[in-house]
Amino acid sequence: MKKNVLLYAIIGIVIVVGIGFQKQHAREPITITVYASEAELSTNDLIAMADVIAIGDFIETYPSRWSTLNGMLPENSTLETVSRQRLSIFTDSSFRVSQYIKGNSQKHALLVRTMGGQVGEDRMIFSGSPTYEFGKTYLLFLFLETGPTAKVVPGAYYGTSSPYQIIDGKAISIDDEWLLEDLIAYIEKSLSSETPVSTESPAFPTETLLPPTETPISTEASTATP
Amino acid sequence: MKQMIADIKTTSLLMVFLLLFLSRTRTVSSAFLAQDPPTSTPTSTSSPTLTFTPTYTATPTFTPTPLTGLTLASTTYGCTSGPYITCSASVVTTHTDPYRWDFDITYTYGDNRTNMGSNFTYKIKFNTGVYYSGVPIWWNMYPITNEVMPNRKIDIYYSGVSDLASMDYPSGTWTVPGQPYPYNDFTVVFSRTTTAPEILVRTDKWHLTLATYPNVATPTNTPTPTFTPTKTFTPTSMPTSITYTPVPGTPQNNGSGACWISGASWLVYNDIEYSIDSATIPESWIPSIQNAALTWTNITPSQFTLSQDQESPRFIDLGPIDKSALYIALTSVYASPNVITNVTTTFDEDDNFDVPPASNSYHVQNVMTHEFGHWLKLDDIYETGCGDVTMWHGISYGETKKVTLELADITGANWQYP
Repeated sequence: MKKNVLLYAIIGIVIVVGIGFQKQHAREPITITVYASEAELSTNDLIAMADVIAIGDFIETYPSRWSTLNGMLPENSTLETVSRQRLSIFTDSSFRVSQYIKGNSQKHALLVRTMGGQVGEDRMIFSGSPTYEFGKTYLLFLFLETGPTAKVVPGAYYGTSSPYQIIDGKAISIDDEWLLEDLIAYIEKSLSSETPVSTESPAFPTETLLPPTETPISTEASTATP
Repeated sequence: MKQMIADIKTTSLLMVFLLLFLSRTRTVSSAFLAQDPPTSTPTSTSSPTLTFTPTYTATPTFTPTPLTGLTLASTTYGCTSGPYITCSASVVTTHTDPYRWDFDITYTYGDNRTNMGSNFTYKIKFNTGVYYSGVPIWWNMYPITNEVMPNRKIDIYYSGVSDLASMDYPSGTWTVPGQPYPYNDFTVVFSRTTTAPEILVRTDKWHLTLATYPNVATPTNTPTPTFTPTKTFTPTSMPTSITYTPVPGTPQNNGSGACWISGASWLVYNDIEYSIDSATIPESWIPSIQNAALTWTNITPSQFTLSQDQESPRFIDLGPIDKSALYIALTSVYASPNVITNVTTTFDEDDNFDVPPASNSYHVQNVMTHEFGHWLKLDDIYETGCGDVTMWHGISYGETKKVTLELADITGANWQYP
């Protein structure tokens, strides 16, 4: 009887110590708030600068991920290494495009990236990031992402902080409202009065659209240090 | 089987105790995070020692007027004796008016002989200017400081004639008869004869009043000192430096007000150090960044302080950022969850920045003042009507208005870091 008690006690201690050891080495959740100084751009600026202007439905969002090759944070990461390596969390979404107003593309879907999200217990809150509602239709001014996250998952676009949602024939943003047909006509008129855009630019990604959680195309790690 | 169940029960009990113990240990080990707020009190390394020595002059309230009734024509005095003695005298006029004179007479003599006595005579003569008859003169002498000395005599003379008896020691008053003498010279003679050597210096000090009206024994008005400082305040010891350690209040977090919103906060905030990445940030930007830091540091009464330290992991650099077409700079605030642990700011390398404002670039100090606001964890403001505050989210080319903080920015900083 005593032998059994001793055996169970040893097993119990091993389990408890193991749990304790694991907990002791689990790092604290990381919360990052990112603030961006935004360029104050007019509608005309956006029309001129956007790589793509399109109308599409928000159909899918992918799990948020860290801007690392595998989308996860290395186990030994600390706040300092995260900040030194400029690691961030981003979330990609897919839009089914019904109309391109600017940008010569045959793609029926576009990957739109928003900064911020949650991976495990780690959170990144990106001040001013746009929010899209599932199943809703938007008129999007899109820019090809060329920043650090493009090195791990290229080919995504990012939108303005205040997208136009299409509701009952109107294009409505936080601080602007148009009849959709008027806005489209205005954009097209603006574009036609511009200097003809080179067919080589803006560049559309040639890679197959992959969910960001799959193996990234680029093998280059984000190692930028100040 | 029963035995096994009993064993498991016993073991489970042991494990529960062990878990409780470990849980308690972990709680204690993390308690250091809840630090007490700083309790340092102001300390001064040098207390000013101020020595204030007012020097004032007691001025009698007499009103001086031209002397017409009495004339101080001459004053002569001397010491006649010797050769082994010394003597001197001084006469100070303390008051004159047409009818009254006052003098302080100091008379000193010393005897250095060791084998015999000495004779001292000291004569002081005042010419009164009164020659005609019928004008009485009263006089009064009283000691100010004097010693009781045997064989001392004080005689009063008029015009060289000894009309009056010697003064009784130690003080007295005489009334000079008005007739028939012309009272033009008034003479006081101090004299003393010692019969044995004294080998010391003695000093007599007397007050003498002459007046052409009676009852001068008691001054008609008592001089009231008027305190007129003649020396300005001159501290004899001034502190060369005072070291003041301010007491930061307990930081707050997640507040909001008109045109300001705040999030997490620094636990200790009176020296938040930042470094400027010299590899990417142009040297010409550095003063602008430092000025931007100073703008937030200078807020009162908040003790929030930003200071440059090139070893700090809280860096400011120029580099690639996501969404670079729309964003000018990114500030990342690392917090867990309401305590800030690190902050970095990155200027977008694809944008144009200038130190002097220009119409086709972003003003460095304007941008950095806004970004430093995020270092305090003040949020971007999107609220209508708040477009002029430094924490407004948008920035235009050539804009400089964010360089100066608005009331909302200051209020937010003071609330977050009292």
